[in-house]
Amino acid sequence: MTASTSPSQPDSHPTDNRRSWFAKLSIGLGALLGIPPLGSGIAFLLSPITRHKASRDSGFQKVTPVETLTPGIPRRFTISGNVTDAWNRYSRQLGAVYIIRETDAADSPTVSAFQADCPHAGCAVSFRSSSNNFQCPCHESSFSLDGKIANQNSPAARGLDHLETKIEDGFVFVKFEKFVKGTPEKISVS
Amino acid sequence: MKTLMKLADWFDDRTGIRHVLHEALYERIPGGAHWRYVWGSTLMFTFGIQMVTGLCLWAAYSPSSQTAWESVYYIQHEMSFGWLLRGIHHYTAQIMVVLLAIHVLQVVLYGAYRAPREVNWLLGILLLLVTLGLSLTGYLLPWDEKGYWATKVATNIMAIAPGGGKLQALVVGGTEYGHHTLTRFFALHAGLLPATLIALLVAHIAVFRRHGVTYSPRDSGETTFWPEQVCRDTVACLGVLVVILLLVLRHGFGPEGGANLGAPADPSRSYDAARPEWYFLFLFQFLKYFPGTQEIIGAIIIPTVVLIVLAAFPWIGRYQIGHMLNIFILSGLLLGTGYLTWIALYEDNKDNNYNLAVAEAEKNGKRAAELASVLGVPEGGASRLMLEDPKTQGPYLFSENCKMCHRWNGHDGRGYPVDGKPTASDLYQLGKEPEKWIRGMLEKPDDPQYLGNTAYADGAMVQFVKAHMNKASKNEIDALVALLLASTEDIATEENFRDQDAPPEPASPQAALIRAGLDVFELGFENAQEDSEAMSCLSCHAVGSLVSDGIEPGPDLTGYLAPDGKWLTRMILDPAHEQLYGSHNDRMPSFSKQLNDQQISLLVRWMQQNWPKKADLSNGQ
Repeated sequence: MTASTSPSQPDSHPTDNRRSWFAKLSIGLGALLGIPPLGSGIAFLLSPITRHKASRDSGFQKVTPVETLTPGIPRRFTISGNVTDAWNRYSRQLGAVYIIRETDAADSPTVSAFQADCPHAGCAVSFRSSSNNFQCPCHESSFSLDGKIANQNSPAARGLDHLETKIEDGFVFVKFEKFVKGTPEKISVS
Repeated sequence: MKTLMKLADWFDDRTGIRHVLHEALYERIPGGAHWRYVWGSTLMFTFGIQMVTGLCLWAAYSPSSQTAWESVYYIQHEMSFGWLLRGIHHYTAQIMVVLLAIHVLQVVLYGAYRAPREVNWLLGILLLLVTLGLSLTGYLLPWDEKGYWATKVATNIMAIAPGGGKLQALVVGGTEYGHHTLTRFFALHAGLLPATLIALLVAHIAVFRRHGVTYSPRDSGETTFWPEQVCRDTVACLGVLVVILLLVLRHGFGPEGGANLGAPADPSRSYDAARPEWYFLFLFQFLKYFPGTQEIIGAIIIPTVVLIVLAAFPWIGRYQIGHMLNIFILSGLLLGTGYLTWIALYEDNKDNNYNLAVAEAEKNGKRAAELASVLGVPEGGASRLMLEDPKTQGPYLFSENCKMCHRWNGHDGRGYPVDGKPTASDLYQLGKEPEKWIRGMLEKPDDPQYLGNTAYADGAMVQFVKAHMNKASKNEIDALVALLLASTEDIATEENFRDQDAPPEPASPQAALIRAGLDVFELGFENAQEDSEAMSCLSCHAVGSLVSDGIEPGPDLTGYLAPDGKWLTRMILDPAHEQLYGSHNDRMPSFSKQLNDQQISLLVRWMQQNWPKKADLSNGQ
């Protein structure tokens, strides 16, 4: 009589083995089942990162005749252009800019232009003639006419974003760009 | 590991999760695990796939009549693995219907619907109806031609039931199919119906757990759900998944594979390929046997009676004879359904017009995606792209306006045969291969393709060509052909040089041919000039500033086959114009009042194959 001849053991071992084999197979195959729907779903949802195709017009845009600008007083202009918005491709408003004519001289006028979006979190700033500066309606930032931060407690990390300008045939052209918000540096969003 | 166990203990203390899991996994299965128990689980699995893929698709779908097709196009063609996701969702829906049929059949064969499982049988029937509802509502969402027309038919049939008109207006969102049809169908498809299905499914499984599997007295032994049955279920689910993936991938790995997307819905256009999904084909076929006012019998009354009989199965089946009757009824229903489906498929298969319509729909769907990808979708939606596309509109315009007399490569422009004999030329070559057309015309003008079917089959032109063309040299014919293919501007340039005493060398071989062509046109063929009765083209036709001396006035041939299509446009606008056929016009109507400028331009550009092509457009970007 030896221990190995115990009657219960030959029965229980194969059954346990069998069950554990079934369990392993179930878990393995179960994981396999999830791959096609979950895998394609995740890849699909990541499309905006993996296949960034949206675009809008960049480059200089004709905005207004110089003579309509009064020196020292900013004026707001809407910028429109062609955009690709997922499946759509059409022309629509892209944003707004402030243009200030700096010099009075009629023969050699100079202008500067700002993005009208606050560099902090992107609310639209507006010019207040009473305080002669730009005010953000959201977090009380204010910016002076040269774009610098005007109030000490402003949460903005940088001043208003300058845009490139040029004057041709008496018209102001602005290169409309958008920038990453919240950073001390000005980083273009393309 | 120890920390994890501690965390699990903490969680279990507060939720009792282990007990719940244990209950779920270690359900006793008297009679042991069996392959035949897998079908319910495969249905659960397919529903899970639909939830996952459906939620992902939701993140990109936009229900409105100007964005539904467009967003689905974008899912299919632009987003990463969108075609795969959509393909899985599409084909899983179809597989679910098959699995449902197997499940129902099995439940009846094994008597698993009988007391005390009546409630679960009724829950099952409701689940079946909700699943069919999901597939019906999902079919519309891409807003392509087939979804649009199939839904229109389904909701119109719904309206014939008592009070159905109101119900139809509720479902459709008014009397017109539009934005609200989509928002409502989408709310049903992604909200109400799945929520109902989940609630019913929970109840269905709970009641199933209460009564357990229906095992046969021959089954011996006992096991638990985990892992023996789960393993079998998983293998079966894997099989189902493989079938789904094979269906998705059978047309390729990429946007060309997966589910089909037709052209955007256009309510004004007949869609001859309109059919419901294959599992509703039996109903589609069935309705053909109920003409006119009797339709309500086939569409509403009989299906309702069938449902009531199905619902009564547990009570009919109380006795063994009733159970046999149930099996007989269900087999009859399935056989009948299969038979009707087969007839529908068989009739479609041998219906040539239907097959042509399917091919046309396929072509239009591809073209719509190509235009959307190359041009982008304008504000009015993708149907605008199609309405302004010569390649799409040309065939319809030709079919609607020209096929009464003309043919296009033997058919009506769209590809359908036309009854009766053509009474004017076949314009395919004229548009597509103008050089071949004019060479053929000069060789065999009375061929049916050219003048053979017209009033001029034996006219002056045919006689002239037959009598004189054999005297023409190869160079003379080449010159004439070049002249007739040239644009008005090129002809004018060469004519000016021709008048000069010392004309400059021709700018190109083509220009030289045009210049020579003018001589042939005016003076006739060199070998025939001795002949006292010799004529030239100029005897009847004008070209450039050379005006016919009017023996028998024919059309002015300036720019006749030029790629700018101006001659064709003038011809369509007013064939009886004095510079064209004048008083000799053979029945061709003036289309200036029937078609607008855009339509004529689309028609001419289509005839000359002058439409935006993918390669050209991509290069121009």
